[in-house]
Order: sequence, then C-alpha cells, then structure tokens
Amino acid sequence: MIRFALLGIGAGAVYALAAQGMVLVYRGSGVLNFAHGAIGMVGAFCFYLWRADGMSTPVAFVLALLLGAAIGAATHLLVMRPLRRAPALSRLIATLGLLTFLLGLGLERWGDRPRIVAKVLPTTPVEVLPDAIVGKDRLLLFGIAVCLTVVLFAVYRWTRFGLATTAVAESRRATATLGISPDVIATVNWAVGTTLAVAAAILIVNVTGLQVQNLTLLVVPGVAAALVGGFRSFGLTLAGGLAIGILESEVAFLQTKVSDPTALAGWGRAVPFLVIILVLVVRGRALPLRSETIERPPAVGDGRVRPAVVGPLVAAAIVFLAVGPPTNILEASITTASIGIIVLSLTVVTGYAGQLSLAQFALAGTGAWIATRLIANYDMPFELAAVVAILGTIPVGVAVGLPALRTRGVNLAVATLGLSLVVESLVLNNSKRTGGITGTQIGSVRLFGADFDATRHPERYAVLTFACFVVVALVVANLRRGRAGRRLVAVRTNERAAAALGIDVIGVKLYAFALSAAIAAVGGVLIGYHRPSVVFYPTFSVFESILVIVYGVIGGVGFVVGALLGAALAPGALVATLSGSLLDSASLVQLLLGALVVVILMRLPNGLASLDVARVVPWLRRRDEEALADDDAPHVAGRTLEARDVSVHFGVVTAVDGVSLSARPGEVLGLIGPNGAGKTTFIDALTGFVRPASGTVLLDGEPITRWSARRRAVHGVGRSFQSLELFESMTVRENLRTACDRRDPLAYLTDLVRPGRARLGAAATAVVREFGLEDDLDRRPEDLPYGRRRLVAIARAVAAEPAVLLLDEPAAGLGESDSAELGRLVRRLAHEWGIAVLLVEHDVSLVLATCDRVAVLDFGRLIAEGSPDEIRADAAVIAAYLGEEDGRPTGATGSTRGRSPGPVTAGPLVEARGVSAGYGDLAAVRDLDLDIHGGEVLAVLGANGAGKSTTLLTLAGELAPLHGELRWRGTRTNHPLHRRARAGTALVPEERSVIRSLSVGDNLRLAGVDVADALALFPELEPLLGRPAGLVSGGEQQMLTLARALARRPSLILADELSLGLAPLIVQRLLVVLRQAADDGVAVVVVEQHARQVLDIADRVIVLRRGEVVVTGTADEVRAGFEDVRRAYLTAAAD
Amino acid sequence: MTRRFLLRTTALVLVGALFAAGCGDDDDTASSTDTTAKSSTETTVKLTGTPVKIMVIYEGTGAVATPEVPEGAKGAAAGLNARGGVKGGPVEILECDAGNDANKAAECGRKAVSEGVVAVVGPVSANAGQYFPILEQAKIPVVGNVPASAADFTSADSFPIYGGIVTASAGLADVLVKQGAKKISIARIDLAAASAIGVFAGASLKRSNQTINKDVSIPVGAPDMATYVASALEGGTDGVLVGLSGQDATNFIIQLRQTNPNVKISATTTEFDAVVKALGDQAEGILVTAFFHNEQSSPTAWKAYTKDMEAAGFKTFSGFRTNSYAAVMVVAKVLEGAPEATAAALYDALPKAQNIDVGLLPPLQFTKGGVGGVPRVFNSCGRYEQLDAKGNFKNLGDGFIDMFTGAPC
Repeated sequence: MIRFALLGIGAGAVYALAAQGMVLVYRGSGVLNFAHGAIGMVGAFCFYLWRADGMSTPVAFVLALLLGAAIGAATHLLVMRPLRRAPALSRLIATLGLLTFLLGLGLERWGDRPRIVAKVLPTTPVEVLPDAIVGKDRLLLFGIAVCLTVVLFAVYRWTRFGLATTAVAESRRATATLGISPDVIATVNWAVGTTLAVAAAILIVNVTGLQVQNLTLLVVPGVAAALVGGFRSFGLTLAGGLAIGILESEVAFLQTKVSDPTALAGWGRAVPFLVIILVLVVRGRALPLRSETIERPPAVGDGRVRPAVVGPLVAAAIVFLAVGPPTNILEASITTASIGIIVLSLTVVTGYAGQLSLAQFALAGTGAWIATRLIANYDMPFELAAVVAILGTIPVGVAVGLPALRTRGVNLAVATLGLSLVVESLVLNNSKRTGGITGTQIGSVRLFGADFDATRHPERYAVLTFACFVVVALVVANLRRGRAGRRLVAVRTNERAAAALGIDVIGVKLYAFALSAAIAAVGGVLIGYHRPSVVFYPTFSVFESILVIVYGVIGGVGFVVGALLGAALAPGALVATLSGSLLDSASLVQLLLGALVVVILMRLPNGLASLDVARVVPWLRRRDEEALADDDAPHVAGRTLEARDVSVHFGVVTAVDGVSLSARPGEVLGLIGPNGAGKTTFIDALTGFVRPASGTVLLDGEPITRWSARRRAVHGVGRSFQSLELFESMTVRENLRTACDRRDPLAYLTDLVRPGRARLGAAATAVVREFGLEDDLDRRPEDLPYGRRRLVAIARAVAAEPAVLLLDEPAAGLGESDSAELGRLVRRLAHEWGIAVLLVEHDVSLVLATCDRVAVLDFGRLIAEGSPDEIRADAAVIAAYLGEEDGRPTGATGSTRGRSPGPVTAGPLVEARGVSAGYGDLAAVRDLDLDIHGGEVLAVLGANGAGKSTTLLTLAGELAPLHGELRWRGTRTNHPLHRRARAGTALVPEERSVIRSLSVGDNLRLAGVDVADALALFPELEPLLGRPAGLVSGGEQQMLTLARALARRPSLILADELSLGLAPLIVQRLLVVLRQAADDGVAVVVVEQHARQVLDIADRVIVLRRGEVVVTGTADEVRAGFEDVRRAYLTAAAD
Repeated sequence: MTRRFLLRTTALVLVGALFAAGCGDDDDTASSTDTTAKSSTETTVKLTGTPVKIMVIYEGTGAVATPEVPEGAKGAAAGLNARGGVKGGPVEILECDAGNDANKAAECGRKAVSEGVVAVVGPVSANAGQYFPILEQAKIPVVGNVPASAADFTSADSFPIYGGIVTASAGLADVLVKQGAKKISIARIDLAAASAIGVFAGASLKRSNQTINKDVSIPVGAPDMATYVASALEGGTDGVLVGLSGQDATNFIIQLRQTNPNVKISATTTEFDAVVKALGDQAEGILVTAFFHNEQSSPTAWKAYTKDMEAAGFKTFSGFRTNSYAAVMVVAKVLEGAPEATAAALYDALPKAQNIDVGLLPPLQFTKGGVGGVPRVFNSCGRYEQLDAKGNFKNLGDGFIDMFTGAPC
C-alpha cells in the first residue's frame, strides 16, 4: 500500500504542476481555462522541436516560456477582455474554443503520433524504499512541484502584486480605487499562468512523452486537482494533485490483488473525477463564482413553428434524400442529423434550462450502448432496443443533473465533465462492458420490417435520421412554447424569481437533464445503428461533448434551427463534405471551429440562428395575435401573512430584530426605513428566501416558517424583486404567462406534443390594461425603457394572482406619472381585489399617499407603526431619515456652523457640465452642473434612489457619463477609475471596499501607503493590523477604507454613505477626519442619507431628488431652509 | 460511425498497429514513398489481357500511418507484370488513403466497388468497419489485412495472411517461456481490444502449465509508469510481455529495467525503431515475433522480394511492404487457379485455397480458420528474434513454428 502510494507521487506531481497555472489564471481573472493543457502542449512541442533542430536547451526553454507568456497575454487581451461583460460561462466556452483551436492546430501541424524525444531531466533509478524504485526525474518533478507551490504561495501572500491579485478577485472596484488596474493584474496573471503551463508541460514530457492529445487533456486531472484547492489555495492544489496520483496508484495496486483485473478496469481513471464530483457536491458552491456584471444567458428562440415554411422545406429535404444523391452527401446528412439531435439535447438543458453540460456525448453513448448491447446480447428487436435505451438513459441523465442541485455555472460544467469521464472509463471505453475483442456486433438494421442498413441503403438511413431530427426538433420547439418550457427558461434566468412564482426549481432542473438525456440517447442510438460494428470509444468521448458545446454556441444554443446550423459544421457533416477537398482534414475543421466559436462569442453571442431572418424576409414575420380576454375582475381570496417576533442574523450582524407585523387582506401596509434597515431581508424572511433565526411566520394562522419559498408561493405568497429579476429572454406576454401558468406536473409530458395556447389570466389582463402594457406584450423586457420594465415586474407578480403580495421597491426609477399609476393599482389590488399588500418603498411620498398603514424599520427594529399621518409626524422616523438629533456629541471639532464658505484654491479641481449618467438606458442623474474645489466639503443629499451614488461614481470615473463632460484640473477626462485614482481621486464606495480576505495591514500595504501615516489618522487600527479585514467591525472596516484612501494623499475624496449601518459616534469620527482633510486642502464630496450630521462639516450642499438638483446652497443656508430638505425626503410630490 | 474522431490515437487501431509491425523494423520515414509510385504498370512490357485491378487501402496519416503499404503492392505488381501478369492481364494497383478518417475509409470501400477491383490488399485501418460491409456486399475479398478490428476477425470477406494480435500474443508469451521465464505478466494498453492479449497469451502458456501472473492494463499516455511496473512485478514476475504504444512502451521498459534489470521482456509496439533508439542499450535482449522471412531465414525468398521491389524503383524493404507484397502475390496465385480474374471468382476460390506458397511466409491454408478460436485467422506461424547490443535483430531458434502448439510450420 505505502509503496504504491509512494509510486503515485510521480503522477501526482505531474497533475499538481498542470494545475497550479490554472489556479493562477483563475485567481487573476476568474476564468477557468480549459485550454491550459493545450497551451502547454504548443509550448512543449516548440521547445522539443527547436531543441531537436540544434538550439541549445536554455535558449529553447526561454523562447518557449516567452511563447507561453505571449499566448496568455494575447488570450486575455484579445478574447477575455472583450468578453469581460459576458457571462462567466461565455468565457469558459471561449476557453473550450481555444482548446479546440489549439488541439486542431497541434494535430494539423504535428500530427497525433507520439514523439520520442531526449529528456531534460535525468532518469537514473533511486531506491526510495525497499522494492520501491523510481526515476530521479520523478523525485525532481515532485521537488519542483513543492518548490513552485512554496514560491507561488510566497508571491501571492507577500508581494503587492500577489495582494492585488487577491484583491481583484474579491472586488474589481475596490482594487481600482487604489490605483491598481484590474486589467493589468489579469493580463499579468494570464501571462504568468500560461508560462507556467508551458514550463510544466516541458517537464511533464520527461515522464509522459510528447504527444498532442495527452498533453492537452492533462487539463482534466489538472481541473480535479485545482478544484481540491478551491481554485485558490496553491497548497491544497498540490495536495489534490498528489492525492489523485496516489489514488490512481492504489487502484492499480488493488487490481493486482483481485482475481479478475478487468473487474477494476477504468476505475483508475474514474477515481479522480468521482473526487471532483464529491468535492463539488459536498462543498456546495465551493468555487468562488464572480459575477462582475449581471449575467445574461444567451437568447432563446420563441419555439414557434411556421408550418408554411417548415413543411415544404422538410418535404423537399426528404424527397432529395430519398432520390439518392451521391453517397458522401447522404453520409454527411446522416452525420449532420444525428449530431444535430445531440445538439438539440444541449438546447434543452443549456439553452432553455441554462445548465451547461459537458456530458451530452456521454449520454448519447449511454443510449447507443444500451440499445446495441441489448441487440448483441439478447437479440432484442431494433425498435424495442431503441425505446429501452432512450428510457434507460433518462436515469443516467438525472444522475448527471444531480450536482446541478448544489452547484451551478462553471462548477456544474466541471461536474458534468467529471461524470462523463466516469461513464467513459467505466462503460464506453471498458472492454468488459463493450463486448471484448469482437466488440458489439449488431448486424443490419431492420425497422418495422424494412431494411435500413446504412451501407446497402444509405438513402433510407439518411431519411430516417433526418425524420428523427425533425420530430425531435418539433418536440423541442413545442416544449419552448408550453408551460414546461416557460418554467425551464424562468429557472435559467433566475432561480430566485422562479421560486417566487412557485416554480419547482429542483424538479425543473432534473426534468431538463432527463429530457435532454432522452434526446441525446436518440442521437446516440442513430449513431450506434449506423454501422454493423459499434465503436463506443472515442466516438462518444468527452472531447466530442466539448465539440457539442462548440456546435451549439456557433449555431445558437437557444434556437432549434441553431442545432442544425451548428451540426452542419461538424467534421464530416454537410459543410465540410460540400467544401470538397478544402476541409477534408478533421483537425483543420476543428481548428476553424475553435476560432469561429471565439469570434461568435464576441460578435454574435446568441449564435448564427439569432440573425433575424424575418427582418430580411418580411412575409416570414407573424405576430402573436391572441387578444386579451374581457376584463372581469379576478376573484382572489386574500390571506393574512403574519410575522411574529422574527429575527434574521447574517453572521454577527442582526439584519432583522424581533419584528412583528401582519399584512391583512384588503389593506396596503407600507414598510419604510433608511438604507440597510432590513426591509428586503424582512421580505426574504416572509417569502422563505432566508431562514429566520427565531420567530414565526404564519399564513392565515398556520405556521409556515419551515416552508420552502416555492411552497409559500404556491399557497399565494407572491413578491416582486428590487432588482426586477425579469425573464429577459421571454416576451412580456411570456413573462406574465409564466406567472399565470398552472404548476401541473403533467405539462412536462403533454407540452412535448401539444403545448397548447395559454391565455393570460384575469389578473394579468387587468394589470396589463391598468399599466397600458398592451402594445408591449410581444416585446422583450430588454427592449423596453426602464420604467416600463419596472411595471412589467410588478405586473408579473400580480399576474400570479397572489393572496398576499409583497412589493420590494416597485417605484425605484419610475417617473412621476408611472409612480402615481402604480399607487392607484396597489390600492385597487387591496381594496377591490382583496389582496393583502406589503409595500416596501424608498419613495416615502408614494408610501404615505398609498398605504393604509405604515411601519418603519431602523437597524432591523420596528420603530413606528401607524397611519400615514401619524408616521409623518413621528420624531423617531424623522430622526431615522435625517440623522439623530440627540445623542450626538455636539460642538464636534471641525463644525462649519457659522463659518463662511468659499473656494480655497484658485480654479475648480473638478467640473461637471451638463452631465447625465446612469445604468443602461436609465439616466439616474440628469443635467448636473457642478464645480468642486480643493479645501471644501460638498455634501450631496437626497433620499435613496435620488441619484447620489450615481453622481459620485460618475465623478470617480467608474460610470461613463451618458451626456455632458467632466473636467479634471481644467482638462477634459474620461479615464477609468484606476487612472483617476493614480491622479489623486480617492473613492470610498458605498459597499465596504476593504479586501476581506487580506489582513488590515495587507490592505494598507496593497494601497502602497505608509502604514504609519494611516495609523496616525486612525490609531485604533494598530492592534488590528494582523487580523483579516473581513473579521473586524463595520466601523473599523470603514476606518480602514478611509485611512487607506487618505494615506494615499489624494486631492479629491469621494465618500459614499459613510454612515451606512454604523453607530452615530463612529460616523462622527469619520466625518471629522474628512473635515480635517478638507482643511488641509483636499476636495471632499460626501454623499449621505443622514442630512443633519453631514451639514455640520459641509461647506456647500446640493440636494438631489429623482436625479435632479432641487436645492443648492451653503451649509448654513440649507440648515436654515431645512424644511426644503425634509420635503425632498418625506413629503408627497403634490405638496 | 461516420466521423473522424480526434482522439483516434487511443482507439482500437493502436492495438492493431501494435501487432502489425511484427518484426518491428517498421520504417517510419514516410518520405520514402517516392514518386516512382506510378511506375508499376508503365515500365513493364505491354500486356494485352484484361487489367487486374487491386486496391491498396492504407493510412497516409495518423497515429498508425502506414504510407509504405502501397510500395509493397507495387513491387509485387511490377514483378508479376514482368513475368506476364495475371491471366495475361497487367496488374494495376489503385491506392486509397483512408486518411485516419472513417468517412474516407468508407469512400475507399465505395471506390473499390466502382472501380471494379478484384481485391483489396494489405489494409491496416482504424476504420475497417467502414469499408468491410461495402466490400462484403460487392463480394470483393480483403486479402492480407492486418487483423485488428472486429470486422477483420469475423467478416467472411477477411483473408489475413498472418495472425496479428492472435499469434503475436501467443508467441510473445511462448518466447518468454523458451527463454526461461517462470512467471509471466502482461503490461498492455488499456483498450477493449487489447484484453485479447491475455486470452491468447494464456492459451499458449497452457503448454508449459503456466498462467498469466498479472495482467496490467495501462491507460494510454499514463503519466508515470512506476505504479504499473510495480503491479506487473508483483509476485515474483520474471518475464513481461509488453503490448503498448511506442511512447508508453519506452517509458514502461525504462522503468522496468530500472526496477529489475533481470526481467525478460518481449514486446510489440508501434514505432519500434524509435523505441529501440530511445531505449539505447536498454533495448538489448528484447524479444519479438516476426511473421515473414528475412535475409537470414530465407535468402531465396528475400532475394525474390527485393528484386521485384528494386525493379519497381523502391530501395526500402521494411515495415508493411512485406505484407502488402505477399498479399498481392497471394491474390495472383489464387486467381491463376480460378476460372477468371474477377472479384467474384476470387471470392469463390479463396475459401477453398490451400498451400498457397508465396515464399516470404509458410504456405497458407484458407480452408482452416479458427486459429486461437478466431474465425478469420488462418495462419498460426511465426518466428522469434532478439535485439542485440547494437540494436540489431537476431533470429532465434529454427524458423517458423506454430505459436500455439510449438510445432514447426
């Protein structure tokens, strides 16, 4: 045992070496680089071939490393950077494309024969234990792997570059505020990572030899090792690599102990991947997913079939195939149709349900294996064997889908890759299960009494595969139009929103995998029946699964037509065949496909099928002409939702603290409170999205605290989301239908055949009329202006006809008239329909005008409850919104009370001229004119959603202005945040921007500041220097942020909501430091919800309301006219 | 299967190629396929009879590239034509490069049908399953195929002239016994088809009342052989039968020599020349099987062969050339005894053909298949050779013997 463990270390070191570079790239750029092995392969080939040509070893080594660095930097700059706003999965797929490209290049250039080359490490035997003799090169590799791990650990632990890499991984923005360019960090990490790939590959060749595929596929055990290290820890990655090597060795050891060694065949390869899956499932979402931007999955088609177009095309194709074109065309059609079916299986699971699966060919292979083994062993009729195979593959598909319940995105892709390798090594590439030496012989295919032998009658087999493709395509299109399909697309877009509509997320995912497995099995069976002798490997290898993703992405993974387009590009399919000798080399086709998929991801992320043919050919255009039903008021039985003493904790923070409230039928209950008061968390607790630490939630008196979010939704607890969470790839009509749909399980089957035409329910119809959404029904939310999108989100929540409706900030970003409309609707929902409505809203005027009762939260506690009039006059509420009047140390140093303001420096430091800014098409700030001078404190006040943070981020360079211009020291500037930071801008963003995984001291070192300077400002940080910043209190974190910013000696400080979640005393301490900085000549802009405290240190004040400046003046003027400010915060628009 | 698969290297064909090279003097200088290719019919005297078309299917590229296959066939055609052709007609060799691509393999089969060839000779292909059904249907026999795939072993169309994996496995075990090994293990490629090595090796070991000690299957491209060497040596192994691809065989043998320098090794592998070169002096003593005569074992046969090859303009005689040369000669011999020089006549005559002696190998009997229990293996004979310190092969023993029974052939 121990001897074998020792022997496994050689392979383990190889895996660890292959893995460390991947960890590096992931840490630096968040991309899981599947092309890592391929890049190493290219470098290693160049090295050994140059060397064979007589170049000296050191020169060749250095050149190869430079080549590696160049490939890495180019990959980042040419592919990953343009894709930085694309979903993480797109970047992953881009690396799959790169893998395909480089592998094709390698095969085209160097062929697939192994080359025997002179080794670079000595191989003299060393006896490490009695009977355990290993080559010196193994020991050296092990030594190098350990040293490399130590060096990487040290570099990433102690150098500023290493600290910056950690910081970028945690927060791009926070790192940029310190003047560090996240892009440079990512580029360098890519270059270093790929250099390491080349170095590792050169060393590995010493043990494994020089061969294109083997080196390329080293990425697979590499991923397994890196995953053990969570794609973060170099030490654990080394341990993971060694553990996998040792496990493999022990399996080989066991094989010598059993009487029938074939019983364990394949387990050596399967074990590492079982480790992957185990790690992933046990650790839940272990791999840190970084969502820098909102993930937008690729578009899906509408699944509409136009019989007038499709019918004649299909008939013509069948006639063409049946009359017998040249055999190579028939063969290419068979290839295209059978691969097309497997791509359709990807359309279901990845396109519709959003789960990236790298196991589709393993599933197809399973189908082929079941069918053909049944025929070979039991002489089962072909038709019956096919049916059994399709049904038999479903459980395998469900098993592949199981990790999807605990993992998503990139992790899931890795898990499915692992499972497909397990299927491959245990079944498809295992002689014991595939018929031994004679293989699987099925003879000539007979179906329904007719001869379908592909050799004798290629035209019949071509018609059969094409007909199967058409049927499967219709099924997949039907699914898209039905209730079940809407559930899939809903889950794909947003699991939370889907659960809030009562959709069974787990059931939907498993269904998608099951259906996709069945479809893949159809494709697999057709490939299996194609020839009398069935070859499972490498026909159904994992690399084919990777290629399916490539075909899918190129064609358009959300479109049924895309499957055909993508499959036609496969090697040996229609395009390659029709091109004649031009594309007769499969490696050349792969090379081109690899390059094409990268280009498609950048230029046409939804694939070829998304090119809108209907726009060119007008008669193809058709509208969904379904009319709205008559407006009969829906009958909703309202129910009472009650919270009793509910508390929610996040770590040590208490977000909701013993709140008791009830929403009653026929009544609108408003819930207001400053930012961070716990309002959204309270809704999450009521709807089952977070579990309360204590307290009870009751629905009509029945305790539902333990119910899942879905169950609560099904029983009438509906909600909307602050961030809308619309199903972007569906039309508005479909969004609403998804909400109205019955949740019957039968739809999963019936929809495949007859999706039916769902009508909008009474509630949906009513709300569409109310909001005037009739003309928007067939548009997609992304095509609507922001205000309309908000209305759609609310309409969707209402369309589900909930008994209790919880609306989370429905009015944010709405204009005056839409707000008013919303208010009317909310009242109607409660008063006419009898729903119990809970309205959480920052627009206090709307709340006060709309609600029957209002409750106020502050710091998680209920501080007031009563009628709107009572709340308007409540002192505690006013204090909560405008800052504490009492309990604040008065006469604090630096107060500007009574001081005359005025510019200290000659010209303005920053000028904004007519600036509008915001996100997407919504200008959150309009026509802003602003001068900021050194030596003054400018306070920007206003309620939440008024546009304060937008203003600040625009001044910092984090948001580009939509209109207008910004000047810095008189010169126009559009530099990004990190450049401005270097020029002297210090942004203190609203979210805590300390790097939580670094110590307080490292946070300061990262900023490149003198630690003593920082400690002079905040001496209270000194005892905390060694503690991780994530573990110090919120106030201390904010001090650290401010210390870090000020010690960089900026000329402009932009501070956003310093008071958020902090005690008044701390806030005061921070403000005083800012005042002192201004007195030293720095320009300071402070954004605050709490007006009074800030007025104390400010020289000038502007007040924003709905993106426009409504009040401007000196601090004293504003203090005198405080009623204006109060109105901007609290009073109704009509006042 | 209709597609060319990227990971073809690791496919079943590797196993075929492992055993294809036989004597291991596979010459991978593909460039020696020189431009004299077309010369086979042009340089001969005018033959007026109906041309006898014979197709060579080979792999021009890929892991088991066998670009030399056509040369042997052309050499045979040149010799035959110089001596009057077959039934008065000139022998024409058609080439089809299956390009390591399933589609192209099928195309080769269809081309053979449309060209009306009498036989396909000497193929070593990853994709034999592609063209066999097509040729079966047209009743065009395949002669001298290197038995590697299920179709080679089972198709009624298949007429290999030596035993490939079947006899080589038996022989490689047998030669270890003959060299005094008492406990024999197998180290073989981890592919479905390779499990057969154990079956056939075991069958030959029965004679000396031995069984296989350890049957170690090694994944293609295994990063480190230390574990597998240790597995193979468990329980006092003193002889190892190595059946691995060139790269893996090199790594395995180096590790094996390091761990126990006294173990006897018999081996079959792809790219044997490269392996021998890479092993250097560690290659000394490796035992191999051979299926054709060489200069020492039959100077007459060798001279006839090289003379024909030289007449066709070829100067290299190693690798698959002997096989394709012999295969064409077999076709010619059987056709001479058939009523006419057509595929149908050949198809009828071959199963009845006995004692076909073409010199390079013992007389063939296509009436008796079932060698090692495999329906389409007819020839159980082979020879043994051993590598000396200079990397040259030396003949062992008394020439051809039956590798299952040990009887002389």
